[in-house]
Formats: sequence, structure tokens, C-alpha cells
Amino acid sequence: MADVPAGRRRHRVLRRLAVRVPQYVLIVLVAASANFALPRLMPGEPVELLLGEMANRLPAETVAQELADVGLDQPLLVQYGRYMAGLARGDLGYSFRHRRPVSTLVAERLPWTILLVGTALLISTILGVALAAFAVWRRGRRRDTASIALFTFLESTPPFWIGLLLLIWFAANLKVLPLYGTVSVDATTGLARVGDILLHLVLPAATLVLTSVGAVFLLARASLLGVVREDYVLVARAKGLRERSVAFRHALPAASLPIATSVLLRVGALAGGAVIVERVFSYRGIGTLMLEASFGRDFPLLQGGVFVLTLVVVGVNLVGDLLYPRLDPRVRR
Amino acid sequence: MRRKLIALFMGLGLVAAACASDDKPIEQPAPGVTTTIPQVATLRFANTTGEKNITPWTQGSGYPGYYMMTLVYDTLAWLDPDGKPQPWLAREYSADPAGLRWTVRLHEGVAFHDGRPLTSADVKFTVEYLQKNARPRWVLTNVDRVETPDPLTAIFVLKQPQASFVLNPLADLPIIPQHVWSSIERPLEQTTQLPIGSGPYRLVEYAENQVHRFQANESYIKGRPIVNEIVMPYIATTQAAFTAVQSGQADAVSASLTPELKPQFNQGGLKTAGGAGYRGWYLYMNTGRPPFDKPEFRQAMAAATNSADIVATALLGAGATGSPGFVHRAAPWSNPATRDSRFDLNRARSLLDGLGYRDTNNDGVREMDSNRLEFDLLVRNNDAVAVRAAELISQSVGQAGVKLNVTALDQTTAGARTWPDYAIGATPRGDYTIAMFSWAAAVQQDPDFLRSMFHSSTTLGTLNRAGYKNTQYDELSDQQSKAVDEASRNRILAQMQEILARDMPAYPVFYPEDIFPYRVSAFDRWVYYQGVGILNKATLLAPR
Repeated sequence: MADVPAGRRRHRVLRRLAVRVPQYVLIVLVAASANFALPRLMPGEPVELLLGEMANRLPAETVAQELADVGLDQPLLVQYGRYMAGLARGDLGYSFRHRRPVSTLVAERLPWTILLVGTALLISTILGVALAAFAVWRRGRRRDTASIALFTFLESTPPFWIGLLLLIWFAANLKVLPLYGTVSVDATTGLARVGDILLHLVLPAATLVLTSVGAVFLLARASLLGVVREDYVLVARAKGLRERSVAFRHALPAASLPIATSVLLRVGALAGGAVIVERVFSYRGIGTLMLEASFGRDFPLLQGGVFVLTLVVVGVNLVGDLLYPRLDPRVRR
Repeated sequence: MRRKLIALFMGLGLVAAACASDDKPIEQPAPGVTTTIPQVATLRFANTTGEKNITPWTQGSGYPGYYMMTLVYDTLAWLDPDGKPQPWLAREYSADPAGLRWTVRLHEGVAFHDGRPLTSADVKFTVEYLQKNARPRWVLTNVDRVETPDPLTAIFVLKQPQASFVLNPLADLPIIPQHVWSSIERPLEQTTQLPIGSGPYRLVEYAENQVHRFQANESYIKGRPIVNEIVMPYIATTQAAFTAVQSGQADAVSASLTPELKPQFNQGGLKTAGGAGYRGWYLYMNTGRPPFDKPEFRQAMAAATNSADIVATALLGAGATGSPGFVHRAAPWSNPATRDSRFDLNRARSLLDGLGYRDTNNDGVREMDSNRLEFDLLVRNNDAVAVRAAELISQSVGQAGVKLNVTALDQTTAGARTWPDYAIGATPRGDYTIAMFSWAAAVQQDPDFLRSMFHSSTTLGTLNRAGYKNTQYDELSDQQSKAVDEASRNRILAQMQEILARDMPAYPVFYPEDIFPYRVSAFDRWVYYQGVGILNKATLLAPR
């Protein structure tokens, strides 16, 4: 494949953007509408959330006034119009339950989820690929077979169960790690705070890593197996390279394409798993926020929170789309 | 260098430890009191409900939310462990013979946390502010006005006599400071400003879904609290919260244990406190839908429900059976004649026979004409015990020839559907024939709830999920709500319970026992407050 001049390469990226961006905008619009419609399809009104348990004991005019204050007295189409207009202005609305702007709530919580999911994604990818590389080089031996069994088991285990086990072992019995929360309830500052945050991150991140490393391992193993029989690997060996260099320098880069794709696709799946894991560890991320919102029909928070998550996932996919030609010369046209 | 750092840290640790250990005996609150109770520096009380800021407008749950809020705010009266009201901020209170004027005399020298005095003007302001910014817990539409002849006297003038007036508002309504709230226009949005009250604790830190931290109010009118600091970390799941108590990361918890865990939490420095919970499960029947419109049919359903077996099987014996008269058996106004449930399949069968339902095609389910007795039994899916109970009900009712399909739904959906086929107040019409529904403990603490539960008027019977209509019951419930004399009120209440036991719009099935675990070494003075829980400001004060 001949080298492409820099100017033409830039041109290609722009052309790619011109095709992709409208598609993504459409996806976001459809998702935003679904975010509006889905919570409202569930039966149940947010009246109790707005006014407290037994809201029905209040005078009817008080309830009517409160519904009008938050715009729930309007026809659905008007509510939808206001919601979309708000999104266009960057206004995510106002949470019924928290009585605060959705954007503030999301801004408080999202960084924690990004930290958690990002850490888990990074560690599970590196760990999964490294283990796969070792397994392929020892394929058929007992350790390889055992690891396939182990990772298949891990992949099919529900995150909350692993989370609870870790919680009981490390936090309750060994008492080496905190049992709940994102930070200690006793305030810390500076380095101690960083350490505190990392300590609280260990168990939830480990849970996500354990439940997702299996998928990476199995995928990386399969794509590595496809590569190790290629001629250039044989050539590398024939050159007298050490096995480790053959594996990591020659085989792995060629096998990295499906792995890279899976990393980007797993962002969405991990964010979903984070909802459960955050709850088990009382982690103060966006997952617990969304879960609470759905319990009480907090429409604006559900809409806004899921919309931001949609943006993150779609954004990651767009980045992937743009990076793909760099990784795979075959799609550079 | 490193050694210096270590020395520095150790030094800091010593200083911190010195500050934290505060084992001074409590100051004598009054001469003549001889018992000294050791001060507790910090108590960690895990909270599983995710409370928000704890003002009267932003506070969430009944328990522990309301009891967290009343660490900060005081009420005029306060319920003792048996649920009987005692004077609190008020020195005394009494009504005129007609029951229309309640005179409340306040203690002298009560101050809010910012040092400003609490006077009758604050009481008046609280009532007027709540009338403008209503909350479901304190509906003050019957208060015409509050007169304040002097700073220590408040006179509530009522539109009609109100028998439950001492229970609510006096023993329930938190008094808020006028100088803080008079400038607040949207109280529902007080989500971050820490509250100022007159109670035994100040809320000094609140981080949403993370922690509430309370500091003792040293100059509290009823003496300095025993515990200096209460930290309430938020733990999202009850399993993790119980584990925290077990492993010493929390000293007590707001959630009640499931019965099988009770032995595990009564060993190795752990104990449980609890008793008959008032939060109960009720079998609701939509009285507007045939065949549930016939009292005989509802009686048959109740007779075929084996409460005792449910308590023994689903609750492992840790609970109480419900009373056909709706009132919890431990409540002072419970009618002994309608207290015990009677499981009687033969009676259920003969009632159904009498209505003309027979199993003509021998498929185990009765029918009449083309009406087959098969219904969905709604129950919410986040309470394993309730789902199990629903299955047991479906089994035993099935033996009488009525097929119930247990339908587990999320809590909000189940709650929204369990209303009659017409709207009540702000609630849209519901959609159910039969459902398991749970009410909070509060509905069994005040007999006036019997009116909200079953009155046929859509403005008075605001909780009438059964859509029940009975003019005699309506009249009696109006009478009791105005009956100032306790004995005559109890007579009316007994009559109402007899009607309910006969008409059976809702059948109380069981009440799970409350079992609250705690660490003995941290604090062992916990007392269970009838039907509610252990967190209560009175427990944290030295007895006088």
C-alpha cells in the first residue's frame, strides 16, 4: 500500500466526517426522543415524588399548582417541544426529586462513573490481551484450557454477585478496603484524598474488570490464533526472534483490530454494568442517579441523564469510526 | 526525611485521637439527678434510604427520614416508646370543653441553633407557612388561626373539633424559625441550605447520597445529648449496610433485618432491637369491580387467606397477623372482637357457593355463566417476602376455587394501578381487581387514618384505594374525627372496625416484625419505638 500525501489524507478524514456526523446527529435525535417517550410509557405519575408520600391528602389546588409549576399540566406534545427546545439550548431541565438542575447533578456524578468505567476498561483490556497472548503461546496446554474455562465462567457471572463476594471478602472479613461510598465520610485533603479515592475505587473497578475481562480474553485469543499461523509470524520466528517479541511485536498488532473495536463497543456495556456495581458499593456515579430516577418517575433526570450517556457512547463510537482507518489500511478509501 | 514524616503523622494522629476521645460524664442537667451516663464521641448510623436535605419540605422517608429531621427540629409534643404523646417543646397543652381552642404553653428559654429564641410567633408562623406551602404529612386546613397572647402561649383555634389534634399536628409538626423561613418563597427547593431548628442536634454536613453529620446542641433545653456526633453514611443496599454493622464499619442501621438473619446479629458484640412493626401488607380489593363489589365475595377471599401460615412460612414466625378490623392489634383503639383473623376454607367455599359460583367444568376454577373466577393479584417486585406471601395467598385461595395469578410489578407501577376506577384528588383512576399493598407505619399510629382510608368522599377518603362506599361508615368516621372524649371516640372506632371486618374492602394480612441490628460497644441504649424504629432523639438524651 503506497503512502498517501498528507493533504489527501486530511481530505479523506473530512469526507468521512461529512458522511458520519449527520448519521450521528440523527441517532442522537432519535435517542433523545426515545428518552422522552420511554419513561412516560411506564404507568405511574411522579406526583408522590413531587409532593411526598400520600400526596393525595393535599388540597387538589396545591397538587394542580405543583404540576403546573413543573409543566406536567401541559399536553405531551408541548412537553416534548419544551424538552427538545431545552436540549437545543443545552438545558437538560430540572429534577423533580432533587429540585436541582439536571446538568448540575450529572456534572457531579458523571466524573465518578468515567473514572470507574475508564479504569475498568483500561485494566480489563490490558489484562485480557496480555493473558490471551500468553495463552495462545501455550495453547492446548493445561493452563490454556483452564483459563478458557475460568474466563467463560467469569464472563457469565452477574456483576452484583461478584461485587457482593468481593465486598464480603475484602471489606467485611479482611477489612482492608472500604465497604461503601466514593470517598470516606471523614474529609481528607491532598494526597490522602487521592489515596482515599483510589481505595474506594478498587472493589467496584475490580468487579467490572472481573466480569468483563473474560470477553476481552476470549476475543483476543481468537484473533491471535488467526494470526499465529500467518507466514510473517513464521518468518519472525525464522529470523531467530525471541518468542516474546514474536508475540507482542508481530502477532499482536495484526490481531489488535477486532480488539480495538470491542474496546469501543464495551464502553456502553460497561456503563450498563456500572449501574449495578455502583449500587452494590454505594458508589456515587451516574448509574445510581439514573436508577433512583427511574424508581420515582423523575422524568427530567431520566431524560437528561440518559441523554448525556447517549452522547458519551455515541461520541466514543464516532471517535472509533474516525480512528479506524488509522488502524486498518483496508478501510482507507 | 521519611522518618520525620512518619513522626509527623504519628504526632498528628495523637492529636486527633486526643481531640476525639471525649469521655467526660454528662453534665448534670438538674439537681437531684444522680446517674451519670458516659458520653459517646461518635455514632455511625448507616442509612439505606438516601435522604435529601432534612427540612420539612425536602425530607423523604417516614423512617428514618422524619426521625433524622426531628433531631434538628422540635415538635410541641412527642410520642413516647408506646406511641403516647407527651409534652415536648410545650410545657402543657389543653383544649376547651368544645374542643375548638387548644392552648399550648411553651417552655421558657428555648432557643434555635443560631441563638434566637423560639416563641409563640414561630408556632403561628409555622402553621401559616404550612397552610400556604402544604405537605401531605401536615394538612392544617382545620386550623382557623393561631393566637399569640404572649411569647410563651399559642392558642390554636379550630374550625371543627379534631380528636387527633395532639397526635398531629402537636406531636408531629416541626416548629420552624420565622426569621429564617419568612424570606424563603420556594421551600421545596431548600436542597442545600443546612436547616436551623431548636432540636438536640445541628446538621453540620450534608452531602447528597453520601453523608449526614449531626453535632450535639450543647445548650439543648432538655440537657446535652449523650452522643456528641452522629454520622449517617448512605449505604445503597441493605445487604451492604448489614455487613457494615457486622464488620464494625457502622454501629447501627436504618433498615430492618429479614428474619433468617436475626440469630447472626445477636452474637459477637451485636444485638437487635425491635418489635411488632406497624408497616403492614394489605389485600386490597377493588369494590367497584364485579365480583369484588359483593361483600360476600371479599369475605370469601379473606377467609381463604391463611395469614398465620404466611407469618410462619414467609416470615419464619417473625411477624404478626393482620386484624380483619384493619387496626393493628397493638394499637390502643383496636377492637378485640375484630382482632383475630380466621382462616376457614369451608366458609370461603360456602360463601362462593351462595353467590352462585360453581366449578361446572371441573377445572378447579369456579365460574358462573361465562364469568370464570380468574384474576391478576398485583404485588410489587422489590419485596421478596410480599411476593412469597402473594404466592401463598394464590395457593390457598385456589383451593377455594378462585384462581389468582401473581403479577409482580415495579413499585411505582403497582402503586399507580392500585386505585379504584375513578380519580381521587390528584390521583388518576387505577386499574386492578385485587392487589397486595403495603402502608407505612404512620397509618396505624393515628386512628383518623381510618377516615382517609375508607371514606367515600373523594376529598376526605383520599387514600380510599378500595373505592369503598358506605354511608354509615362515612358518618361514623366523621363523628370519631370530632370526638374529643377518648372513651366515646374509641366506641365509635370499635364500631367502624366491625363494619370493616364485615365489608372487608381491604384485608390486613401480616405485619413483619421490625429487627434492627446494632453494635453494643458503640451505643447500647437503643429503644424500639412502637411500630416505627430505633432512631429517635429521646433515646439520645439522658433520662431526667
